[in-house]
Amino acid sequence: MNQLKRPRILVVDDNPTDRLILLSMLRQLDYQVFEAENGLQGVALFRQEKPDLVLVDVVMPELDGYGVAREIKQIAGDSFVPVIFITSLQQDEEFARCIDAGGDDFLVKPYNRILLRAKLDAYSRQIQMHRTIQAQLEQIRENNNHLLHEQEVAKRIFDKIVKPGSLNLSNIRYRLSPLAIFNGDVALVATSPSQNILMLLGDFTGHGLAAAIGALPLTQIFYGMVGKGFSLEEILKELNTRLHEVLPVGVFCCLGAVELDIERNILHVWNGGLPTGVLYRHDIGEFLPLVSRHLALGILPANRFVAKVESYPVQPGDKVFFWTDGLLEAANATGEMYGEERVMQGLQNAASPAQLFDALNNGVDRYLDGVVPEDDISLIELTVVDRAELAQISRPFAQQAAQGPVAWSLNYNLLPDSLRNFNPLPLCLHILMEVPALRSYGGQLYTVMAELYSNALDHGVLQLSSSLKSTIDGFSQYYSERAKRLAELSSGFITLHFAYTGNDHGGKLSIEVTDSGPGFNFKKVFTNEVPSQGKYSGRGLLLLKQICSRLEYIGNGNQVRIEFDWST
Amino acid sequence: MSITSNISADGKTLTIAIDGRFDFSAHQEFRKSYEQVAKPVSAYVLEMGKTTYLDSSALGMLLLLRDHAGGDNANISIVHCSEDVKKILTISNFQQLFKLA
Repeated sequence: MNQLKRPRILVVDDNPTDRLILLSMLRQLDYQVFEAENGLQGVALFRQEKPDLVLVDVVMPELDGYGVAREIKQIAGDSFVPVIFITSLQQDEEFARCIDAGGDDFLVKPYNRILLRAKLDAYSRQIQMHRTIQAQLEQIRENNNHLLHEQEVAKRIFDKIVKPGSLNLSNIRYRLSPLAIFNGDVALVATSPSQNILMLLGDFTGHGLAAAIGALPLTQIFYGMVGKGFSLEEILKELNTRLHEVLPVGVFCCLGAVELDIERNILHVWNGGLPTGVLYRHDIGEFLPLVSRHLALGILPANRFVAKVESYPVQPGDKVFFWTDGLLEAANATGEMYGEERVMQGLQNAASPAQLFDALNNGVDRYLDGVVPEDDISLIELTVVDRAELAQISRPFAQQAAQGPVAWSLNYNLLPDSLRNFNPLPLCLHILMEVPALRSYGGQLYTVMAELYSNALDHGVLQLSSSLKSTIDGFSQYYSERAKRLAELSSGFITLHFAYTGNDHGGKLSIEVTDSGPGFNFKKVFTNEVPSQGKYSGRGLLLLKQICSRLEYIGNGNQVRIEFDWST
Repeated sequence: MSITSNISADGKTLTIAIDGRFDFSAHQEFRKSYEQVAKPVSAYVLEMGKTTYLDSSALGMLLLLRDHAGGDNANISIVHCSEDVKKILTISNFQQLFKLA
């Protein structure tokens, strides 16, 4: 926009003498001028020349000054075109009428040169200011359009990467706005090869692309590692390390995460910086708080990050809830926030467990009563189900024609430092999946390995008694004792031995796990193999017998061997 | 929202007082309060007696200050905060990074 441009002025007056006087004064002041002899001509000339300011006589035949002002203001629309009435009338009502008609000011005949000049200078400044603001508005509008366009493109990319995963599982309910990612909210669900369900609700600081960008590594690492069978703790460590690397200081990701072990009915929970979540215990009708005990992801360096999960025994029908602070901070018309108390009250007043999610979701909407909250409200519910109920789990591997190795064996020996920090199962699964025929059994094989390995580690090397797990208190005691013994472990080993033979029509895989522990009286265990109701342990062996064609303990019971057959 | 800061007589401690809502709108002023200090200080006190609310971008700003003040070696106390503010800080487990009093 040209800063120095003088306003161009249109003069509309039916009196030729008056018009001539005014025009010559304006020319002397160096203004470019246009003249019209009546109202209609004035409006036409305005359309044609688009002047910056209009001086118009009030009393004219056909279209008078008021009419001209109204039409010009309408044509000018958003742009500011001052209309100044010229009048010889001296009554106050007349001046008021000029302003009512949309006029900005008036000049009284005969013209006072000094006054005219001062007024025009003042309006020139106003026009200039208005132009600057208009240009800035334009710029903002353009930037905003650009931003919206970028967000659309980014959203399309994000949608491809941040696939819904298993958010559509029948036991998951969630609320997440389509543009949540630009408010930094992410909800992810995936099933592991052993069919554990892992669920995350994350809230990155900030808004827009800056908030969304962290979701990419988060999502890719999460899906990748869940698919390979890593545990929640291992995934959390990796997520934190990566986010600490990529996010600038001051940007982090509050996260609530759970891993549901359907086979063993255990829920592992980790909360770093997300509002207190809830575990609903179906049998006793109580809500256990899932408190944030950690800093959010991306703040601490890897060596100071604590990924320790809390483990709870659960039963089908139990439910886990997490929500972002958008729910608690949703403010109604009076500016009051929804708050934790109302959230808990809503949950407690729900008519049935099936309506808990609705109590949260609809409760806040009723509270807001149409007010659009400042931040996105995201919440997620996971219901504990038994395996049979969970029909929709996607198979991670497709069946393929038998090719690849036909006979091989592998010995894998793990010493204390590895036992402490390393999960060998993803790597083992990866090797097994090199055999195409085994790919469709990935989930079952992972389950078998996980069972054998955790028995060898917990009961063999660490010598923990599973009888501890028969009560809820003992259950958490078991896990803290386990962590303590692992940390102090200085000797011991677990050896995994795999052997496979196979052809196009079938094959046999054997897995032998030997641990350094003293073994156990396996004969006694086998006579009493059906776990009693409500017991939190003992399902493992039963499960192994269902999947494997053969299961035997050797020696003192510190060595176990299974066989897995497949045929077409 | 207003942010004021002053340095102790011995020049070792910078006190930053945050009144009202502490959110993204305070970003520049908050940064200025500790970046425009003539001589480096060894300790920081965040006076939150009159802070009514913190949002997550304020938490981010606290982390930026911590980084500026030496990261793991930073000496930063947050004092006089209300129950509401304290709750936000403890949900985020910021007591692991700052002294809360």
